[in-house]
Amino acid sequence: MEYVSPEGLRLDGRRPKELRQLKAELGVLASADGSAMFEMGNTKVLAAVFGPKPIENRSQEDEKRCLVKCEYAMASFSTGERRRRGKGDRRATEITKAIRNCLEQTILVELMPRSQIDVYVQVLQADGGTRCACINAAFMALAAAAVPMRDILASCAAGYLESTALLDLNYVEDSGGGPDVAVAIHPNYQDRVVLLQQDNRVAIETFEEVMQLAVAGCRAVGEFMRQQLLEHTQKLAAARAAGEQQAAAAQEDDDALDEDDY
Amino acid sequence: MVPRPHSVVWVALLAGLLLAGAVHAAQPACGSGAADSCAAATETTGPEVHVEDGLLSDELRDELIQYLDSHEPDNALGVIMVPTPRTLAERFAGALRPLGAGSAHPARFPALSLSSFANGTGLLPGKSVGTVSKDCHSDYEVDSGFNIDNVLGPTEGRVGILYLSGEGEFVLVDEETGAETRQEVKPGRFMSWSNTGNKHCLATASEARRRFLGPVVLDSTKSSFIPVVDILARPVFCTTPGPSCVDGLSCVPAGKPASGATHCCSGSIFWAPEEKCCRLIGVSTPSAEQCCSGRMHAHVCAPKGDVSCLARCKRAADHGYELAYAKCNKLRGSRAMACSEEQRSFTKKTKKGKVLKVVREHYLRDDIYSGSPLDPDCPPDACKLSGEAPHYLLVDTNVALHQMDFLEHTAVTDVIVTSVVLEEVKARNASAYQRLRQLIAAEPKRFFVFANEHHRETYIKQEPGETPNDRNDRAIRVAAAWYTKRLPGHKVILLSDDADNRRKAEELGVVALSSAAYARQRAAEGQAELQDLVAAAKEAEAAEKSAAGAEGGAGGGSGSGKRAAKRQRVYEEHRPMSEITAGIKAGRYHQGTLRVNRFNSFEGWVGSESVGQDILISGRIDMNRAMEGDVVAVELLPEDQWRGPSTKLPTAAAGETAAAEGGEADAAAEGAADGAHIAQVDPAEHYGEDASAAGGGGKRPTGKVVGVIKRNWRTRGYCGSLQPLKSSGGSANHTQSVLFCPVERRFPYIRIQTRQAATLADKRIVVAIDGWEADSMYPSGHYVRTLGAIGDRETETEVLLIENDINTNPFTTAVHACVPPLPWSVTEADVADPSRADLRHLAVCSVDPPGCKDIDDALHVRRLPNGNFELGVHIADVTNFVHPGTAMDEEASQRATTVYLVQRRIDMLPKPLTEDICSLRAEVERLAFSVIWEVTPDAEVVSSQFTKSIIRSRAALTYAEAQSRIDDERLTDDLSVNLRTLNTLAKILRQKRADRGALSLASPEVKFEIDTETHDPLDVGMYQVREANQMVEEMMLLANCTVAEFTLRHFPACALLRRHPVPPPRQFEPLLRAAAAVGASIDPSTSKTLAASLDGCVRADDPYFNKLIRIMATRCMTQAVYLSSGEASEPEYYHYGLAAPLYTHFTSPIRRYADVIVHRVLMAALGLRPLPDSLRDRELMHGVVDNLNVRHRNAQLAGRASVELHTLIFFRGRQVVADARVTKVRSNGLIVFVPKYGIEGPVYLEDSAAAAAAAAADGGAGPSGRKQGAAAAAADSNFVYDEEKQTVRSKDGSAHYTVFDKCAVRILVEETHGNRRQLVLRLVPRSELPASEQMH
Repeated sequence: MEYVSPEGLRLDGRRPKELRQLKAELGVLASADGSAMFEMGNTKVLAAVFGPKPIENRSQEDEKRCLVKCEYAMASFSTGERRRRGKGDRRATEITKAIRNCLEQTILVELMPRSQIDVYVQVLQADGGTRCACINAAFMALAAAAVPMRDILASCAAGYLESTALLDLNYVEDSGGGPDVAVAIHPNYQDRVVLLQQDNRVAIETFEEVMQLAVAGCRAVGEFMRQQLLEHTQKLAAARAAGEQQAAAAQEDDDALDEDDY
Repeated sequence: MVPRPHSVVWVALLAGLLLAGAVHAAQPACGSGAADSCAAATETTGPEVHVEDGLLSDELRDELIQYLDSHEPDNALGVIMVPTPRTLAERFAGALRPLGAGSAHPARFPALSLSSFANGTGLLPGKSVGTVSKDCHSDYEVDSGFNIDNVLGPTEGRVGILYLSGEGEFVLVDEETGAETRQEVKPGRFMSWSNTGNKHCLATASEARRRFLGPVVLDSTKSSFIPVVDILARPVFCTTPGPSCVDGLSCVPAGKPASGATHCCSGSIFWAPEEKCCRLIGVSTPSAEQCCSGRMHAHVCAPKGDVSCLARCKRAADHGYELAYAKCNKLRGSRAMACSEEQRSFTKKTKKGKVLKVVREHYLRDDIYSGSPLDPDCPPDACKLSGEAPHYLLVDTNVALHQMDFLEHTAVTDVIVTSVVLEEVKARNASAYQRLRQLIAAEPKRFFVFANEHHRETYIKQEPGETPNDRNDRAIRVAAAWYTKRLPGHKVILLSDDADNRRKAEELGVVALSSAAYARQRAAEGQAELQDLVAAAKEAEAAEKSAAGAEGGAGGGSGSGKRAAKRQRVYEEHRPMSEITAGIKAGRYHQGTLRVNRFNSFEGWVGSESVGQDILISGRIDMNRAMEGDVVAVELLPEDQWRGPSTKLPTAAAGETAAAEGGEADAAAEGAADGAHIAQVDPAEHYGEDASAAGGGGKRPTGKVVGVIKRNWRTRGYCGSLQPLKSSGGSANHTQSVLFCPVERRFPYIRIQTRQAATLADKRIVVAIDGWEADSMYPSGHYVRTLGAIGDRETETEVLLIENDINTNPFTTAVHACVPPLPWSVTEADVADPSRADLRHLAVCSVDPPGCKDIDDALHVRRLPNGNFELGVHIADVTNFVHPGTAMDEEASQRATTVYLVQRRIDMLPKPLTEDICSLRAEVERLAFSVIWEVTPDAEVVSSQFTKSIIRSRAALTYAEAQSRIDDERLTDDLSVNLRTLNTLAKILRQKRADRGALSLASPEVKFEIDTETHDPLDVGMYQVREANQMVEEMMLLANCTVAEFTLRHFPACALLRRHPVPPPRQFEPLLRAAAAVGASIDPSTSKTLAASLDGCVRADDPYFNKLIRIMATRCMTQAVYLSSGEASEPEYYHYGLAAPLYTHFTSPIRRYADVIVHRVLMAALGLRPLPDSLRDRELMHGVVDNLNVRHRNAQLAGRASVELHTLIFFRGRQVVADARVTKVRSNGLIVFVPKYGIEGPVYLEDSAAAAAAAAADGGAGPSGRKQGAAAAAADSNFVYDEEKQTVRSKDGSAHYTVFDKCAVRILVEETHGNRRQLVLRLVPRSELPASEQMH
């Protein structure tokens, strides 16, 4: 299989150092305190945040910091072949831990002692890079929930196939047998690395190159998320203003009605 | 439950709240604390402000003020982190804690900063919790959604501020009534008020500094007011304005805050305690004043302009990568970023039979250019096409697939290959794809790949009802149309052999030509050769299809068209694929690869597992257009039609019969030349024919081909020459149809169209097959290139190299770059390397054939103090220079072996490595990989070890030199003594091996003496095998076996081994029959019995008999092959010939890639280097091993063909009578073997009269094959063949030949037309044999 044509185009038409199309939507679930949908190409992840709230299980209570709970699940329809995926399988456990670890490093947990934040991450559609999309979605949901955080948490993967470093692998590339380096960083914190995972073996020089690319990808993702958050806040403000006007109008109507009743 | 400290705090908080609530309810105007300023608030009827003074003790307040005064805001946000004392925290907590544990809602507003206050004890730096900012503040409305009614009564928003210094008033404005409530702010004062329907801001009277201590906490009951918004309680920090706020940049730059600031940000905040700064993502608002208004309105938000968008572009460019997420409409202007997305979805079936819908992303781009300098938009570095080219060609898939030779011609340049064509070619024909890729890579060809599938304007979607094929055709047309539009002044020609496609293209305004028409056009410009290169079948098709064919092509095209109409079908149509698949499943048909008789292209065997034995395919019609190597479907004939293979030698007469069967006159031409072939003896090649003979002339399962499942036509073409023309009528530039005769007789003749028949008559040319229609006797093909004159040594060498697919291209610069520069010598680092043993003190020497420059093995032996011997084999350390994954490694793994021809060596590795750096030459220090054993004087191995080493060879001996040192007892120098010791040990080892059952086989190798000037052979003779050869061989075997064992033990799944499969019993049948005929018995049941019985085959009167038998036994063997140990299990590793359970190749890494791999595995096993990943990859290794085997075999065949060629050259101009032995008997002739020259070939039995006639004819011009054939045919009836006894006798009893008989043959070269030469053997009476030629 030829993953990168000699003309420098990947199977889906991207060049080696391009991200897939990113999409993010905040506040998609009304019942959650914060929620976000994050898409990297065909990978689509939904994240919901509940809390901060008093801790549910007192024995887990920490005086110094809040508890971050995380649950990762992959919808059985998320891949082409319908398969039941348990929450407890090895892969899910690993990803759960990875996400939780990233979030714990990002949330200002010490600001919220004795409380708890629940993060639910659900993969709706999987096309490679689910781990990174999950982290990004969880971050967006946390931001939507206004949980105080250190910095933006941006994650992106890179790989190495046919002697070329590739950014943001999709499923086909992911199964190409090359290394898959997933990175999450705090982009405004001198690119502090929060997560670094790798599948398969790779030479150290190659790794450096791949890692650099992944970090650059993270920065781009972070930039994108920041823009999205800005837009979201603007939207909120606009909606509020509209809502106020409506309410004012409704109030007047009510007053008018009241008069009629009399 | 054990109460914990924090729960106490909670209780305290609750109490505080309840208290505050109660006071509030009872006395609306007053706060709960010391009420000295209650009156101030109660004066107004507007919003209530609750004031609490004395929240801080005086000391604490002073401390705080002092602290704040001494700390300037340390960043542009104007934030100071304030360590908050416990008392203050508790007070805050008491006042602000909005709810307790009993709340109906879980806390939206939990511990947050309050608990942190509680943690603070005194002014501890680092325990920062609140922030203080100066100059402005903003608050943020809260839609908390939580209900504090239970606690506080009617819900009201509250804000807490602590004023510390400066002067001013806090103003609360009722939005409905406009009533203002003013409250003086004082240090240490705490206020709370209802936020509902109120604006609040700070009115200042002076420029004095004002500071607020946070947090500012708000709540309200507006959840019904703005249902869509979900904002939670959060701390809001005020910021000073700064440029950083404009797009909400989260990082706060150090430095001065901008003056005259008018912006303020709020929103989600990220707080970085380590850096003591806030990061925020938020909305910028235009003025501080509005910020303070307590509500944020849409109109106050700065519209997000394109500024940030552009900034993003720039940043992306800074990073050197492009962002695919960018939104196209906004960024159209930005070059690399524009893209849009498509989903490609299709369904596929999994292995389990599930049908899946697969969705793939497909990005369309704006940054794909035409590749022409004529296009103003195309960046210069993307230009591959030439601006001067008269036109550009855009090829269709059918052209790329079938007209590759045409495209490869140097005259065809500036070609656009669309990615859709590339993909189709890749899917249809991998080798064509490879060639196309090479063309694209070739600089002067200027082939440009246009990625039309990812180009926004040329990507098209499959329409409903459109087949994928039609869609691809349309995509090509769209691309062509795009080019036409893009380059208005320039000619872009769509080259397509599909008339329909051309017509549709013309409708789009695209110039479209068939390849034939284009070639004609170019031919008019003087590129005559080009026209020959156009694949013939397509030419005909094109000629038939195009109504107005131009004159030249019409000649050939319509000619063949007419003939097609006249001719009836020669072959049965192939069955459709669906029927074949069904037939194979049902057992009606049998699938297998066709192996064609080496001498007759119309007899072959199909190995079929379903039948259990090979199926005979006999005759042109039953063969039904299948060729060597094709995977075919065969239908068995009814048993009464089963045939046995021919017991006759193929002769001209036989050829003519075949021709008659075919029913086409010119087939006779084929028969005429179809004499048997004189061949260099081939150790294992004769299986095909002999298996056929093995049937004992009896009937064998016979079948006919009903379909070809997979063609095995060579893309590199077939070498051969044109059949002489019957009439020389064709003028030079007239297209003629001629027959091409491949040198390899397995292949049928090929019909080609050419305009250069006259010039090609005496040339070797390469021809490619295009197709084989059912109405054509022969496949049709087209001319590819000319190699040179027939019979010329260079040309014929070229032929044999091409026939055996040997890569003779010079190494690329990338490969040469991997070679260390000359002069090379062992470096300090090598000496210092602890893993490299310094063995320079050992008396090492190498023994090789004369003239050997790539010396890859050397030996040493020395006596140890304990009486044992230390034996060492030192192998060139090639892997020290050839590293996995490099260009050189790639190339070597492709070539797999060095090919040795009589006069030439085609290296696997570049020359500096093979002849100098790696070669273990005498008297220089070289790196080696050594195997060192301790052996007893009885050659029992006590221990063995492997090490990288440095050696200095004392001498590079030839076998002859070594032998003379061994033999000459007077020599007592170290080297000679060592050689003698080695020889003694080797003999013992050899004996041991023989005892285990190793076979000692023979092969009739010859050597040439070559004239250094002319490079022609001067003499030829048997290759002499000396003890020294066997000594070296024995040592190498020992090394190989030791390495095989060791590597397999370490890497059971990825060691490279060499196995020699046990030959199936039927392969021994010819040998057994021949031996039985002369009364010798051979027992092939095991290698041991075979070895023993071979030893027993001795005739006192005939010393050569044993060797002959051994040569014949060699031919019964299967080929030894490489395998990766992961692919088979233990018993299959066995090496039959050597009777060794494990064997590999370790000793010749310079000339065999297998050894390079073994070296790497051994290094890994020793822990010197990690095992390369490629060796673990089972799939990859399978391919590598397959290639090793194929290349190894090809190299052997090429070597043999080279010997044959030189034999022919040697006999040119001389006639020799030589001693020969009969190896096979046939009813019309014998196969004889001439040991001295190592040649084997047929002699035809003739009447003495005919023989005399033939002999008489020898003197004159050489008799034609036909005459000889006729004689042989006549002789046929006079002889009786007894298969049982392997005897043929003439009816009159005058002549009588049995296998192994001695006879004498005259060897001569017959010359026929057009430089064709052929080696011929003739029986002569033994009396003519000169004494010098007699064998003993």
